[in-house]
Amino acid sequence: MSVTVFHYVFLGMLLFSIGAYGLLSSRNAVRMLMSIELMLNAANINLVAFSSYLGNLHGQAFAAFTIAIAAAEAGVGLAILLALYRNFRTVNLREIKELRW
Amino acid sequence: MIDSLVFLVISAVVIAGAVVVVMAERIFHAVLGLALALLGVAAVFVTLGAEFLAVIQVLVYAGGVVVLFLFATMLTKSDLQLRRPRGDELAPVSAVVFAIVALFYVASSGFAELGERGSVVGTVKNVGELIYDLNIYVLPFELVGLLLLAAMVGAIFLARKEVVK
Repeated sequence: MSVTVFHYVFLGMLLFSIGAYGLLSSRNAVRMLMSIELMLNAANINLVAFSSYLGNLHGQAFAAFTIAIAAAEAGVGLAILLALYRNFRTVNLREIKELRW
Repeated sequence: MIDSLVFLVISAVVIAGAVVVVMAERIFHAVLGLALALLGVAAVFVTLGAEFLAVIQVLVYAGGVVVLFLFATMLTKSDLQLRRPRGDELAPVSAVVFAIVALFYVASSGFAELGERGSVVGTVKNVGELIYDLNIYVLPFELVGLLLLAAMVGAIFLARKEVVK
């Protein structure tokens, strides 16, 4: 039995589901951001898998852009997190209820 | 045969790391699980012939993003909020429903007709030629650079301490 594109798509789907569960069930902002990273990686696996099985590199170029944007997202997200922590002394999003400070 | 075995082992590593991210009691352990999962994804890229992306994955994710998360974990007391609030019982249900729907869709699609993996290899040369020689990706590439600059300036602005006058 050889590895088909279906296996990779299945792996990506599983990873995305785990990330979605983490995003929905956690109220810790750090863990939520990590779950988002997992979901972005699941999308990258799909992009690269289809790129490889279709025989051209466009999917890999897209995945490179995705990685760059994910890095920017993580940086800005964690900066927002630090600003929130400085104001509220917590990263539990259930306890952060005001936008104005 | 050996391909299947390698794929199974790598998949197990990725899924195990992801489960640690979601389930670990302490955030620090979750970050280590994230590093494991991201390195596993880099290995997945290698099995798909995406060498350049595998290197980028290790450099940017395992080297950059994980360190960023470690910083955030240690600068905030994020371990003090361990208790699960109420009203989140539906989260696993929605994740499982999503998995079932996605599995149904994938199973009914024609992905299996794609057959064997192509011989194309994503080396630095090949991906770079695709981005620069065809004109379609030059503008997005420059825009991503601009976006990264904007993100860097924004992150510095957000994270710096307010100067009280």
